[in-house]
Amino acid sequence: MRKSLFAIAMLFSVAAILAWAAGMQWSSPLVASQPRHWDGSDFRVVIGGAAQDETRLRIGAVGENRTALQSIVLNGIEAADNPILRYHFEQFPHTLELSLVFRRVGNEDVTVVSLPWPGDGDAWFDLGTVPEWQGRITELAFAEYPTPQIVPPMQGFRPFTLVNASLSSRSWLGDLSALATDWLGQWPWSQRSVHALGRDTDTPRAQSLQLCLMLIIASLLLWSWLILRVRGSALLRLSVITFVLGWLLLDLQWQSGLNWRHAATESLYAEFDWPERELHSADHDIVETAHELKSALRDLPENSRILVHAESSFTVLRLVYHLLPLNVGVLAQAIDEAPGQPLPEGSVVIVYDTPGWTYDQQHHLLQGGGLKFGGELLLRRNRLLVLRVRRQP
Amino acid sequence: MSLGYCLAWLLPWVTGAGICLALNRGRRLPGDLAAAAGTGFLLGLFLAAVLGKLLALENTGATFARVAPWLAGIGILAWAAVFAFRHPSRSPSLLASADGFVGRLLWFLLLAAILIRLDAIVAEALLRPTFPWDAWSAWAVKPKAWFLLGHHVVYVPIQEWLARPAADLRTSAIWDYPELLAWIQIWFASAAGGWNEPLINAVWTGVLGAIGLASYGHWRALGIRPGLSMLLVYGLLSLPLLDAHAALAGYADLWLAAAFGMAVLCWLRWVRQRNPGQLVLALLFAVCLPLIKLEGAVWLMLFAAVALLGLLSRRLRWIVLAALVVCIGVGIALGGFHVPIFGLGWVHVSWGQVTIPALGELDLYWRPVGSEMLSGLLTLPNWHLLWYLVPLVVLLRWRVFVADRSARSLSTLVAACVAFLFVLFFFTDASAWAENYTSANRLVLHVVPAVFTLMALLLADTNVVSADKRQVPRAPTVPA
Repeated sequence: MRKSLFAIAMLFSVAAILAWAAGMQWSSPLVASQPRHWDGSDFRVVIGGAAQDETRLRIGAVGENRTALQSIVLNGIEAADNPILRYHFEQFPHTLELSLVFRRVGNEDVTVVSLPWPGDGDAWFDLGTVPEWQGRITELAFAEYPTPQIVPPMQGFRPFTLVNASLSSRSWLGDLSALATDWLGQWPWSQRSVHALGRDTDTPRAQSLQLCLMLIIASLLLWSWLILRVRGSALLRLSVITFVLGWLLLDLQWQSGLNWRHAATESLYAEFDWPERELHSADHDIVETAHELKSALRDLPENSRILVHAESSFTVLRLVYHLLPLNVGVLAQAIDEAPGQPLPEGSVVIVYDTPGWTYDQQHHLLQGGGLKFGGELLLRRNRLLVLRVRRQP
Repeated sequence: MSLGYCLAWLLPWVTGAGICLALNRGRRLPGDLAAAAGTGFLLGLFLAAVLGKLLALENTGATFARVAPWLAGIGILAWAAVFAFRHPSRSPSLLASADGFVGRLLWFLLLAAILIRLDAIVAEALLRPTFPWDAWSAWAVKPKAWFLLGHHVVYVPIQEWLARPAADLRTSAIWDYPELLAWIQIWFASAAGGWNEPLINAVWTGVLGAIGLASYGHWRALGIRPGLSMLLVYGLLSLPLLDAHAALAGYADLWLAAAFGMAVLCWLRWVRQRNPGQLVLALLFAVCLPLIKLEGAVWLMLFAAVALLGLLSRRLRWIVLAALVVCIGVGIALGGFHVPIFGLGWVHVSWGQVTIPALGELDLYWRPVGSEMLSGLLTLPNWHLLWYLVPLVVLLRWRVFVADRSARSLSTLVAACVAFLFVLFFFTDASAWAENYTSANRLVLHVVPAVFTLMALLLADTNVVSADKRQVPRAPTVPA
């Protein structure tokens, strides 16, 4: 009798925790009625290139910014009535990210929602958690692009297929499927991965898998104590065993994620040896610029101070790193920490990828961002200005 | 992979393991070989780094060539001492594993899972260029410059760099970061024959494995059963944030966690077994903490304080603590005071403010970052179920604290670390690190191996994994 009661209590506990995590509403049907379904071939190509393959859309090329975009124009779908998105891709590369783009009636701007990596089967997402998912939707699109920070834009793309997609009303099945996609979906490494793990996105997420697993373990221990009257060392043993099992489940998910991320890394780097790998990193343009600069500045005395400036701190620091062992510093830091201190005679100022900086040939002045440096221009490229500082040119 | 590169792994490992075993002066407990292998790997690398700084300043490209003979010589002496001190009758079985068929099966399954994990991590590290931000913007700047330049140059603040243009100086935002790790990177670069980031970064996986080996060995030597030890090692090495730091190598936090964890393990061995060799090792690792990362100075200070207080009688301990509190109170009431902290310089403490030379002024007032901290510990996939499990184990096993002095000492140390992190994140501008999920979890990572050691002590005489129903042996104490 106690065991049956325990089993029933556990069943209800697990169901309640899952329902809470998935944001399920008791009034929802088990399965959504009349979902709005679109085959891949219903989508038109906006950016990139694709061909119809019966009912599917085979995306074979990217366009501007190495992005592909497939869109479908809708007849004003009520967002609140259709929050559950299902999407199905095949052969989606590990090196691409997927976003949903939608446009609403009365709003020219589009909203972009980062979606979990689709895998090869159906993936689900609860758009009801996105604040902008309201009003009437007039256009829906999928955008695919190389994973930021990780994948070099030139390398990320492999052909893939958009099979179909649908929007449906809230249902138990839809909510639970969206929860499963969120919990089990894979995510790429990002700069945040050494600080905090998980999908690095502003898109709303489902409740935490760790928290829900812990709630299930807590309810198991609670019902064991209350109903089965497990006490003392037996309770400790049960606690340890349930924690170990819960831990193993989480670790299986983590290990499969490691394997998934390694597959992405392999597809980027496995065919290259070390020196070439650096040229195939996400910032290969900075690497190439640094190589060019090293070559151009090779005759510079070893002690010459070189100050680097760029629009983003990432670019500045990457350029500094790739320029080593040249004697490099950060121009913005010099201005901040040594205000009023003139740059030493013969210093070199490198301005890279920063709009607004110009060199005045007549007055021998490099200027931009409220700063001026006199000297001779050593190198000028599309996004690159290199000046040797001369007090009296 | 060249012979030199393979030797760059093996030489520190063998030498360090020899030193660890030699310091045991012939005493051998179950797990000592694993402990020596794990502890020795880190110790050998630290030794290689120190020797590199002493012998290769003027020719960094020849670091391996210059240091390797010295390391080999030290290793030969250490192993000679090991064999001189050896008492075959005292040597435990080399491959003691869990009792009972199920226990043994689980032991091997866990070992296989650990090896598979390490393989996956090293495969990732061996493929990618240095990726995480601080790895290339901070930790690899000095070693890369020194190695490619061919010699050591001094790093200075940017003002000095600009003011003395004729001097052979370098600058970086991290000019004052400790350099121990830099010399380890140069050691591997010189052995590999070039600045090969994947080959340099692979050692982070070695450190992860060393944490596992050392923890297993020392826990076994502290009397914890093989099954439970292996289960806890699996738990430790499966933590996602630890794995991420090895796979996306380049940060110093894993090294700090390893050194702090090993200092704690060796110190516990000394507390329980009065083995002076373990005390020496504990001191060596503790002294290395501020040489790895600035935060290491704080961990060293807390470690030294708890270890020194542990030497005093209970009465004297309370008197010293009370005197310390009174001195701090009076010092603050009188407008503040300076205190020297190894690695951080003269720190000024006053009411509502702490000034650390390397970090600047820290204004102390309450910051509401509880939800962000809890999210990082409990809901993001950083720690599996660790921070749910630890309070539960402490709650259910509090009686161990009454009976076991070493568990009490370790829990005091862990509590002191937690208190420091609490003050840091809830009372200083470091709260921003919690808000934006940057450093908070990385600082927690430093104490995680020590937390696992505390759990091992608390769970030592529970019988969960092993099928063996015999009385569990008590922790070994001073050998006869």
